[in-house]
Amino acid sequence: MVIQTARFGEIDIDPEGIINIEEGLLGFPEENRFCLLETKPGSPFRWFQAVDRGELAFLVINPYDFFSDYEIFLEDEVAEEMMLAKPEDAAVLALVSIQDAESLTANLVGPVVVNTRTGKGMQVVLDGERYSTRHLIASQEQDAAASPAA
Amino acid sequence: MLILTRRVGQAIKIGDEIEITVVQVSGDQVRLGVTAPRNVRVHRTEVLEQIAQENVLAAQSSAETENIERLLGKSAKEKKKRDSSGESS
Repeated sequence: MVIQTARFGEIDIDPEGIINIEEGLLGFPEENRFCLLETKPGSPFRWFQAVDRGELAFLVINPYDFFSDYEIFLEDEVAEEMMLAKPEDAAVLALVSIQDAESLTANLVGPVVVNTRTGKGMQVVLDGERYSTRHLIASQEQDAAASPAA
Repeated sequence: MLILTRRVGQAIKIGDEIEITVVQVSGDQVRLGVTAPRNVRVHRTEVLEQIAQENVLAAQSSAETENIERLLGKSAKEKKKRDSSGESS
């Protein structure tokens, strides 16, 4: 299936890999189909590309790659709605923002949960104080502090 | 918008299935109890707004930033560092 994207031009994607998010993401209710694309082979960052809107793509990570103690509690009704029978069927993506062009942060309050068996996805809202929309992944300042010789 | 006055212990009903009860009032804080069908999701409004705002920022910032490759490379390094320190401990 060939789609148009702003970042990669025309690309061929596997229709089997399309993630359907019926309600869209918060703020983007009209985009319902997404696909995952590599940034670079082996990179923990991937693009979450809107299938029907070429200019819309989010950087995403698997939050467990960076925040090993991250926990998601899915309410029964959400799990039911997503037809998630087992935790192993769930893939979790955290959307990444770039703050002031110098640091990368991950949104851990609104992760996208995907049922890998059905391709059905949903942006889940984690209530409570534990996580924020901006958990630091990396910044230029961090880098400067780590290399005092420079 | 409907505005009405309730006392602690009193409730309002929205449609047939949603009921909101005033549980406690202290100062400018109000504790509410919400009874709703399982398929009705109840969230704090500002949390939804924050996530929506961050989604918009995520879309804009990843589309515009020129040094994204450098930032990504660095973050991948951070992850590797973390991974290897995890293995050694």
